[in-house]
Amino acid sequence: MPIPEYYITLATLVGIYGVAALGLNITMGWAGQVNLGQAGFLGIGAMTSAILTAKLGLPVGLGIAAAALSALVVGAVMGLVSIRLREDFLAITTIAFNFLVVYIFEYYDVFGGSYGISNIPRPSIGGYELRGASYMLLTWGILALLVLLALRIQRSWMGLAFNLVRDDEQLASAVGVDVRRMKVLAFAIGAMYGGVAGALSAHFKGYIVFSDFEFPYSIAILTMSILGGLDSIAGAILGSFIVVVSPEVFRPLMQYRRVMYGVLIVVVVFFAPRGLLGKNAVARRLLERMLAGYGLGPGGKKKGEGG
Amino acid sequence: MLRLENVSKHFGGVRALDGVSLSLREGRITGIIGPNGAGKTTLLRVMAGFYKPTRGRVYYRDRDVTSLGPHERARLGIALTFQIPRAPPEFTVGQLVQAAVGKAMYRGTALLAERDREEVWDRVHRVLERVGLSDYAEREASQLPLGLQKRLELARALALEPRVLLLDEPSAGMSPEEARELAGLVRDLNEREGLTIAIVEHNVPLATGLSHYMYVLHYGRLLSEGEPGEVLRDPRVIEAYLGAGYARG
Repeated sequence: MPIPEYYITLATLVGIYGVAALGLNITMGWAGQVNLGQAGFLGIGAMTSAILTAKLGLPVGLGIAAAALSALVVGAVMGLVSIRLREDFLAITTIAFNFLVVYIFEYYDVFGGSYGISNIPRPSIGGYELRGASYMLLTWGILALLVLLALRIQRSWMGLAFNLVRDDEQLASAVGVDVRRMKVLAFAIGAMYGGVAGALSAHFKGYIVFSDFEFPYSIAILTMSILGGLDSIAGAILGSFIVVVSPEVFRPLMQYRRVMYGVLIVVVVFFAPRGLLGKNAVARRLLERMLAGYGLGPGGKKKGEGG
Repeated sequence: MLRLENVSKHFGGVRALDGVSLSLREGRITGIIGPNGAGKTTLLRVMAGFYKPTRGRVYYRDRDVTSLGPHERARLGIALTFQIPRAPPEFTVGQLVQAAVGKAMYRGTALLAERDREEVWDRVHRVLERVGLSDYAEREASQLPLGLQKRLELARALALEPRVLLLDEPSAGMSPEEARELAGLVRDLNEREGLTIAIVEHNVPLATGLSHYMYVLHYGRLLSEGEPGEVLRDPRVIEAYLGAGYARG
């Protein structure tokens, strides 16, 4: 029996927003650079790919690559701005950035103005158009690649440098870390993830308009990140799953969705500030204990026990 | 080795340093003493690049490094330890030393190189052994007692493989026993490895015991300089800092 279209749609959305939230985790969770405008980067990626493919007829693969690049460049510029700003001002500036991007999309015809851009093509491989399950697989394939990149960053010198910049800039400089460069990199990489997510959503829906990237979407992505744990890769995907799926499960509450984001953030920050899968988080410990029960996972062996 | 030329540093209306010229001689320990607020920490921070001087220049091996940031100076081999140890929560002792071991990696494509390699941890463990922290590599740094955190500061600085070591009150908060051990370690680093060292200290006997040459700061200006014996006999130093009791004692 084929999987119903509805579940495939949800799974695709979880993948797309997983990419966006993972990017936010890199910028905000690992490097400590507040970004409340991630939807703006989704918009830049989506518009770039939409214009290149729907209007100029270029291949979708190229569109997604260009989306990643354009978001990366704009992200680097935001990173340069972040060097000069304190955390609270950076928060306000990234919100302003989100509004500015949406404003530009609405008022310039190249972005389709208030009509948006339609007829955005689906990617195709060898004449076979990817839709439904195959598009979901593409989304999750790209998510997997970006998870691998994130893992690489986490285990590299860059990951350590990001964490030092987040926790103590002076200490970071004292050990030779170029703090400014790390801030720019963290912003650029996180924005690149946002750009890819935006392009994936554009080719998924086939139609985009400025209002798809408004500030509340940034808050939705932030909710995913915080929920799952800002420093956790798996957390970003879990957060995306919860935020995408829960309005479907609690359909009667659908109209209160945005209120729920706020409530979720408050509840998580209050009771589990590291998110569900963050370091030392309750859910993570439970999960590890469960896995350990089956002889799996890092807690599988008690400390002090021999190999 | 490291030379300041007519350096001033103003914070708003406060002149923390006012026209200071001094030099750290290669392979020597230079002591910097003076009362609270004399500008000692500011001086070290100007040397390490954390503060840009309002006026004056900083030279490292005859190269003008005034415009270089702290990370660039760290990579050149100028290492600073902080007066109050910096140990952000959740970093282990090993990780903080590891961060410094990676100084050459914080640029270009090497940024993405795997950091938990065996040779990296070999170096981390060698440095930890040097300061007597071998057993603490896995411990969370912020949970260590102050004395050990001070040693960690030193380990982190040594992991940079520095040519110049700038120590900001390394013995503050240590027991007399710990301070003695630290002094032994500093002397050893100088004698056996030829490190050029500047040490800012409130513990005057410790500083004079270690230093080959000393500078005394007072209200941001140089009050006196010379070999430890000369400086301690300087009437200006006795009056401004040590007090008459010290001279009699």
